[in-house]
Amino acid sequence: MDYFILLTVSGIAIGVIYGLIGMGYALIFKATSVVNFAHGEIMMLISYMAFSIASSWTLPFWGLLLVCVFISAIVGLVIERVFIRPMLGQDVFSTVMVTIGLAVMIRAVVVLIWGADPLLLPTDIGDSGVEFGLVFLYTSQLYAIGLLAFCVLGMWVFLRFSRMGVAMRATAARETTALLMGINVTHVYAIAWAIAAVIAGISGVLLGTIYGLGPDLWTQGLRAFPAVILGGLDSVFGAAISGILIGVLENLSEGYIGQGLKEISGFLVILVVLMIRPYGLFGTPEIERV
Amino acid sequence: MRTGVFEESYSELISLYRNPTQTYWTVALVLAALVAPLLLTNHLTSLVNGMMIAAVGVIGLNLLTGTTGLISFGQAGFLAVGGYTAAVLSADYGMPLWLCLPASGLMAAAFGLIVGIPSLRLKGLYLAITTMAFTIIITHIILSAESITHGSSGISTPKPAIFGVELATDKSFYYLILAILTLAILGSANIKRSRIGRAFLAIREQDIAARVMGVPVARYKLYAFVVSSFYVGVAGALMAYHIRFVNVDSFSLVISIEAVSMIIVGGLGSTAGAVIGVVFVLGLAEVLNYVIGSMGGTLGSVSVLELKGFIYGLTIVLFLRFEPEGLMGIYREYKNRWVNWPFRY
Amino acid sequence: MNWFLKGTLTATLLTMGGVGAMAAPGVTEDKIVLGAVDPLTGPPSLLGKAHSLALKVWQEDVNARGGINGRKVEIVFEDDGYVPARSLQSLKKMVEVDDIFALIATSGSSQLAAMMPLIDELGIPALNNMAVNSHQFNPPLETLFVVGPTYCQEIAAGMTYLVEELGLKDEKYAIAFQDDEFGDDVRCGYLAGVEKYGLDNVLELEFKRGQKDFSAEMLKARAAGVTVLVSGGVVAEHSTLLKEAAKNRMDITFLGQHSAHLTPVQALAGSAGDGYYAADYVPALNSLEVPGVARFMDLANKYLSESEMDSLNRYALAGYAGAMIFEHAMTECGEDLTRACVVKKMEGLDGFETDGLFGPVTYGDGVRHAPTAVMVLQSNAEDKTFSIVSERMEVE
Repeated sequence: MDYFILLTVSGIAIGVIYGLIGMGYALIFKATSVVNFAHGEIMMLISYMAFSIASSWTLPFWGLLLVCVFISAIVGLVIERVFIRPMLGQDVFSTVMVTIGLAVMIRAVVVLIWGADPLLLPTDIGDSGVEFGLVFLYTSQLYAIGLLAFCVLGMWVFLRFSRMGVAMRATAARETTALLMGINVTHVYAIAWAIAAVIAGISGVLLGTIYGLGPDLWTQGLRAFPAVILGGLDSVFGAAISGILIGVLENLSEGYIGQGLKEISGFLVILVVLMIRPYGLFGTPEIERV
Repeated sequence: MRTGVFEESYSELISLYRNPTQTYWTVALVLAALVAPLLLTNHLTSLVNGMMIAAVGVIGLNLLTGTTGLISFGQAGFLAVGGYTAAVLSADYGMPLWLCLPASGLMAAAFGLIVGIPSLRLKGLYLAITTMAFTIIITHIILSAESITHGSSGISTPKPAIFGVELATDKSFYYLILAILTLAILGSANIKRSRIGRAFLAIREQDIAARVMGVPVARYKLYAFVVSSFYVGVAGALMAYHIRFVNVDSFSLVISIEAVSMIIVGGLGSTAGAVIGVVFVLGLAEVLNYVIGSMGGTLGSVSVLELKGFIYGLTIVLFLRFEPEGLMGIYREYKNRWVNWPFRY
Repeated sequence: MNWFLKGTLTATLLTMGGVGAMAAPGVTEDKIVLGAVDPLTGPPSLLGKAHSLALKVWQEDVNARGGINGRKVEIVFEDDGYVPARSLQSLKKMVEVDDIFALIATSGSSQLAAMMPLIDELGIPALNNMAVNSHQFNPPLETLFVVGPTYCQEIAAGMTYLVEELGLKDEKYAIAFQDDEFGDDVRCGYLAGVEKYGLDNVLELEFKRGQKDFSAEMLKARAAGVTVLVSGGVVAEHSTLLKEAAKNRMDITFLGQHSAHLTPVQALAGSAGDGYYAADYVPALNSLEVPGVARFMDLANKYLSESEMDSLNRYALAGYAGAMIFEHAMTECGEDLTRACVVKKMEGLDGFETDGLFGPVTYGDGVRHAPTAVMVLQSNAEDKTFSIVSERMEVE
């Protein structure tokens, strides 16, 4: 039983990060119908920028996070304006391919500027951990759980009550009608990308603190795909919850069955679930009118 | 400007080329292709071989994604299946090349059938990511099934030989690949003009409406997967013979994404576009390698080499931004202007 | 447009390729052309850059000393990005376009495996000092020489140190290994040690390549009471395992193979990265008491820039030592430098010393693998160095 609890807790610890990354994917898909294949790379870029900042000035963890939030928002806005805005009006698939091209570019830039060595993100909570009876967690992992809860709550409040949030939901539902109703759709896109970048930045800093930085950090973005598919590509809350589910599932399958099942259990699960619910657990089915 | 082109008999209707000029140019192309290895160095022939092999695979992908509209990032998985089948059959069981190639294609087609089943339920990007999941699962299976696939050590394939004639050098192998590529192009062009091809197009445009019109959508979607995976499997087998070594490393997800970028750069939906897309993307990679390699000099600054990846990604982005119809789009536009001159349309 | 590009490229390359007939490929009156294939871009560039920088240092030094029997050395570097298909392509290009005499850098093991058929066919003398694998010399190729122990031999020697020097015979042993051939090789060494000393092997943890999160694995280890962990990680995995162990308050002795002997591994593990052991066949960059290391660091300081110095690691030492072996063989051949002669001289090496960088290098008729010797180093996280803590253990 102990073993089970330990596995579940460590599953939650990695799952909240999948959830955070997944929320970013879901938000962009929800607002713009584009799967942002560069999400993992943006996360990597911001975490490396955080590395440079943390190396030059000693900041407390929350200070670093705050600075990263600002930087991520700017990065998100810049990327949206330069790469995505010009693709407005074109096929969604083309925009998706642009994000893929962007991903390749960011990967090269990161190695160009910071080199290929694995790096440690110097934060003041780096190695500290907390003990809860049986369970040991890094302080950063606790923060991750807290941050996910905060982001989920924040997104909920934003989408439900704020003007821009409602506008975003309207754009996601029916873009042309939203335009007719006077919503500035380009602004909605920009804000969606900025928020997604912020979430990516937060997850990047967390990943960097817990596991360290490396030029292959973008693969964690791929690992979060099962989470966002399971939850439904356009469901932000679904992504958060499925992230935790997938994290726990991966750890349990690795712990009890083993054989490197951790890597593919997520993908196997989504294959099965998608056959039953083709739009994910919480996704909205696309109604096609012929 | 071309006028007075009438189709007066059935054979004229179904012929590939309506126009003597087109025929002459095609013959010239074929002659050039036949003569090429005699003019190029071994190294360049090897590069061209690589391009042609990629072209076979990408033509298959084009049938699936371009013609039928089913976005698939699973190409790396099918390449791996094809490559490993050929490697295992030729290295461990000593089967000759002319058996291994179709065997690899059929094996990949079988996997394609399995991967195609989700496509009956899933649409668009959900399908794309599911195919990605399959690539990862297939890679995992290959690593685990060590008794057959030698796990992670990889397999070294023997030299390609057909009917006793050894095709050890790149130049001689070139002709075999050329033959297969021609068959692939003809096959793809014919499928597109046939009933099956029209069904594919219907599915791409609006599959529910296609079903209403009597197209058995489920069956044709599976056909699309099976046929395209067959192509890709054969390409994988050729790759195994070309590089003489298969290993899971060569079949990563990045390959799938590269393949899709090739058809987009070439022009979605056209066979010629697939070939041109391959030539452009691979050619660009080589040119960049050469240019930046010589800039890096004798290791002037090693980091400069990373620029390769950057420029590669940038090219794809620029292409999509400015030329969404791809190279075929540019070609068609200029051809139309030429044909219709002095009129605009 | 593409035909034009290809045409221009062809024309340029063809004109470049037209050189007069030579005695041996790559050798002229005053020049020897060598080829080096390394991963210079992407994550594996950690290895490739250090390796190629060492070769560059060697090249500068040899030429400053007047070359080899009056011939200057020119190395052509090609980047294969750790993709086997590109390695083969690079080799073909170097043979065709640059007309290399020999190959002194062969990238990783799957990359070399892709190049082996061509190396054998053309009889190109090649030296591998970076990624040793039994396929490379079992069966042996006439012209491919491999120096350095397999991971199996390396870890077996490391286990010997753990038991005989540190007295860890009665501890609970575990191994974390990757799910590929590299991991299998590490596990082989581990099991050899277990069998030799009758150790208590409580856990064998297999993990997937690229895995970042080892919490489940380390929890298993903690539940099993593991006190000695042998790690078959690539680079970052070592650090993550160390950190997880520290987080779970596990008091373990940690032994990694030579890829744990890297400063990024120390740095990434933070405070958990102090005091772990790594088995390697070259000394540390700061082991200046070893004459080879001192000389290499002198030359590196002379010929490399500051940022390039930062990229150096144990792969640089391996590359430099390998180049030394090759230099010796080429020098012995004198004026009449042919491939056959170099192969013969390499074959005849018996206990060749590289100023302490490798153990004694011995080849022979049909013997193309020189495992040399293994030593164990310990990590000092504070000053980011490693120190040699064991004697040199020669490997058969």
